[in-house]
Amino acid sequence: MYICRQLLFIKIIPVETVMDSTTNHDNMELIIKNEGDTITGVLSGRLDTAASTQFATDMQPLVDNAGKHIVLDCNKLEFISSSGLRLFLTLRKAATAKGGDITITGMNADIRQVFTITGFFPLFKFV
Amino acid sequence: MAIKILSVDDEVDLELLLTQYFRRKIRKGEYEFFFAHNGLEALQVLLQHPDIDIILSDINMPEMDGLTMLTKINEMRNPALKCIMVSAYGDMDNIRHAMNNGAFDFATKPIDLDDLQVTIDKAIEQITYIRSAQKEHKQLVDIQGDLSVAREIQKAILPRNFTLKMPDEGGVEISASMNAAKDVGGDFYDFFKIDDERFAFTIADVSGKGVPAAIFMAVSRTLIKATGMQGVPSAECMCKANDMLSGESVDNMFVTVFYGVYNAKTGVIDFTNAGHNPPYVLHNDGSVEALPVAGNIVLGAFEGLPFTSGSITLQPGETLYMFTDGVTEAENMNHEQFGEAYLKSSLEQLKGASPKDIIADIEQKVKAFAGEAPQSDDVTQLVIKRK
Repeated sequence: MYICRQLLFIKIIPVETVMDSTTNHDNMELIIKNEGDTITGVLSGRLDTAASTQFATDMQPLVDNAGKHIVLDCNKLEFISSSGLRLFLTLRKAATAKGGDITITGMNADIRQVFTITGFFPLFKFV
Repeated sequence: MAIKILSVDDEVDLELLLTQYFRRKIRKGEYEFFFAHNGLEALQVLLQHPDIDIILSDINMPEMDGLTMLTKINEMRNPALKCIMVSAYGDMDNIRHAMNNGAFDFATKPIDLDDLQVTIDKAIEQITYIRSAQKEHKQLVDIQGDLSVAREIQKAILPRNFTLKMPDEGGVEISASMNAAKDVGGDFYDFFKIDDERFAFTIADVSGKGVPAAIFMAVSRTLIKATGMQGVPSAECMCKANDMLSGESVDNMFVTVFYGVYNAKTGVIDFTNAGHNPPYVLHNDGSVEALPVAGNIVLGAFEGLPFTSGSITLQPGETLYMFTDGVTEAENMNHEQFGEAYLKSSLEQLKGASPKDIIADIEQKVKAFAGEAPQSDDVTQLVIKRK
């Protein structure tokens, strides 16, 4: 059996220029992979208030495809502010409206705690 | 509007030449010409018509030469006024001198009018750019002014008098502070009397910062207060406020809220935590305990949700310490966070302290921890101590 995975597009968007090249702290990046009926967003860096404006634009392909299975790979997500949480809520509402679902993978304990405190935890499927 | 050009030359022939060559532009109202015959006259014309855009000036003239005039014009410090200097072909010393003194460009005699047209167009392009930048700068200054007014308004709507108009002031000591990271913030605290026996209090954090957060903050605070004043249980207050805010929420903004109703007779607090950082209780033995995470979602996210409340009794001498994540997520230059553990251990050292002193101490610790790092979020605290 031969499975063909078509990579429709890959988008790499640096949100802010990195002042200190040895650390990646101020850099928020979203890579979107569209594979069949699953669309994956790989988040890395710090989703703070400053980065969230650009992230809102960058995540538009995910919102547009919210009827599919969305996977948010948060292995490299370091921090999330309330402005960042708002964008997760935006995506969640789009998924509800279009009949899709969202799975979050690899989220670190600190950010998971933020999801727990704010009551966002039950809104997503965590792996 | 016509571009105003002042031609300065002691040879009157030039006037005829210019008005002849640019007659179409003049007729269409694109250019308007003014003439002067030496530097002194030119400065007088400039005084009468301060909106002149371009000066086209000869260098060698009686009374005041072009270079002296250029120096005077530079003293006016108007970047939107461009000088094009005219001199004899080969007069490189004067031309260099003029360029070094801030001339925009130069032309040589006899003037090639087609070339002059290109130079004028280039000057107009720059003038237009500078003008629009100046306009935008002015708008920014205006907005900044509005923001500082907004900051004052926002400060004014948060209660600053920490005495409750109740018998024995509700039997409590209250203190609070809100330090916005930007001009205006999205955090707020509030407390208000319900009746002679009960008062309610709120600490909250709106998603985002700046003006949008500040507006949502004002709406949230008003809705919670208006509902809370009716004396309903805390969960019902959050439920009603959530339904109203979910209807109003633009761009999926939300607010995390800890809301409590305090009974002054019994010390019992009926509270509902809508997605906010759990407050701490400072016991009389110096131990510090966080309230359990409620599991309720933030206000403004989804309409029609139920909210679960909890209840604690504050013993005489005990303190309820409430804060926003601006405290625990304050960062130093290495992006390390202040953190819950440090907050808790700091509170443990504050056994018996007054609410005012607790706030001052934590505020000072947050500042010391952050060091040179810019404040990234609003820092808000609300502290209630049962007397």
